[in-house]
Amino acid sequence: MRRILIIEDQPDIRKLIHMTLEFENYEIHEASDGIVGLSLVNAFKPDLVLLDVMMPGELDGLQVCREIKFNPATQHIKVILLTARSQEKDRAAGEQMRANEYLVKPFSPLQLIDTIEKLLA
Amino acid sequence: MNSALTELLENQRSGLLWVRRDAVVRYANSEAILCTGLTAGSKIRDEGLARAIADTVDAGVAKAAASLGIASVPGAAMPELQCRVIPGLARDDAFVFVRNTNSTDPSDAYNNLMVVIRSDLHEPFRQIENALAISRDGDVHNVDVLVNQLHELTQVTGKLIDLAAVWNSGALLTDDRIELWPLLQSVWGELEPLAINLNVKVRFRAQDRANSLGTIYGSEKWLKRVFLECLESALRSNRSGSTLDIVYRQLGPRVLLVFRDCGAFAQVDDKAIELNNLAGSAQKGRAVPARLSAREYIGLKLCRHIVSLHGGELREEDDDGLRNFLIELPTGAPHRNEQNQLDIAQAQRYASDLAVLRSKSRTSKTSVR
Repeated sequence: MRRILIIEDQPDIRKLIHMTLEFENYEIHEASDGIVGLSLVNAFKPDLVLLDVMMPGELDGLQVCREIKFNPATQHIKVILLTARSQEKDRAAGEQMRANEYLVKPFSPLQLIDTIEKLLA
Repeated sequence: MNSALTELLENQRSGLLWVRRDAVVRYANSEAILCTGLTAGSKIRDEGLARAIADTVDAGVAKAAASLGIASVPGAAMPELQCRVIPGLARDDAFVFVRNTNSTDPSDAYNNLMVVIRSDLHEPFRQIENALAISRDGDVHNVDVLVNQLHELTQVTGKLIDLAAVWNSGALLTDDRIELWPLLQSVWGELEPLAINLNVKVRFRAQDRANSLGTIYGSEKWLKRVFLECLESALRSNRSGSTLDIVYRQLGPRVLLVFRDCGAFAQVDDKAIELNNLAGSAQKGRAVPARLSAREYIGLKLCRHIVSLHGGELREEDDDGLRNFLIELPTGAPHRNEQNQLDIAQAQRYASDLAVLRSKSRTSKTSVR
């Protein structure tokens, strides 16, 4: 069973994503900030991370993405950035951090599932 | 938009939103931007207010509605807004007058401005008048004095203009993603010549590596201005031959930056990054002025306002004659939080796709059997 980690500070959004993924066959884990999320990534190496960009705390989503993607031990993990920021420079920042995909909030749950399936195929 | 109309809308005492029937904002004046965080193109997600707008457009009668604004400081309650919706100039438009029920009397701000002008601009103008009178004799030294006085005055008035520009504007409501280390390096690049001239050694100290500092969201232009003002004030306060530390500390979701005067006998710190390499020129120590000059006073007011609009706090401390600046800011996400509106929108999106999700799930389970 594929493992997905949701790193998102807003509990309601986390719950919605969790509910969306329950329709599919995934093992779902959650973290509410970048530091905890990164430690979980290093601990159990999920197949895919759904990562909010703007999270209050020491590490925002782009920094977490950089830590994941520039570390040889975790660079294989797929990362989907979830963000309210839709400008070109924000997408470019995501690409610079080697994120695999970039979804703008409010995103369609159907689009989320399709994107995950495409990445994990 | 027609400039006369812009001026008319901008000079309303209350916040004003010009909206479409579908609650998309066509125009927001400065006061409305400050209260609501909404700008042209934003959609009003408050269902009650959106319904009042639609009802007003349909029925052609004014409606009242309550809404919540954006908190001015983190942890503070969102202010209640009283809104009055009236039909607009076109059939599918409406105007929304927005009033923060907790707002202070605007005459207070005007009085404060008059005090600043009276107390801090009077002296520079008087000195320039004297310098003008003296310089008429053509003496080069007197002309230099006049030029310096004029320079000081332009600095002060420039800051006053900046303060007025930013005071009630939406200019600060950008969400640039700002990495702190490059910002500090940029600030240092502009002020290094001053530090060398004043013979002040500057060090950077942090718990972690300099390039892994937190990120701030806000206006890069204005936050850079804050750091420039604070570092310049700190440099000018330091005595020749002393050390100034820029200390970075992450405190949970917030960062604390301290511009600390360490005096002439700073503690050795192997982990500190020395930002300059002064050869120890033999300049005589300067006396620290007892009163803030107008240039610094207005600069600090501006900085405090900018930092507060970013959800942070700027403090100045006097530590036995040594002057320190402390800036606290939230990291990782912008202070001005439209998250409630996004949550609602995401939930609506989820609900609208739920039936399809369920159907897809049933289909895949059926086919497995």
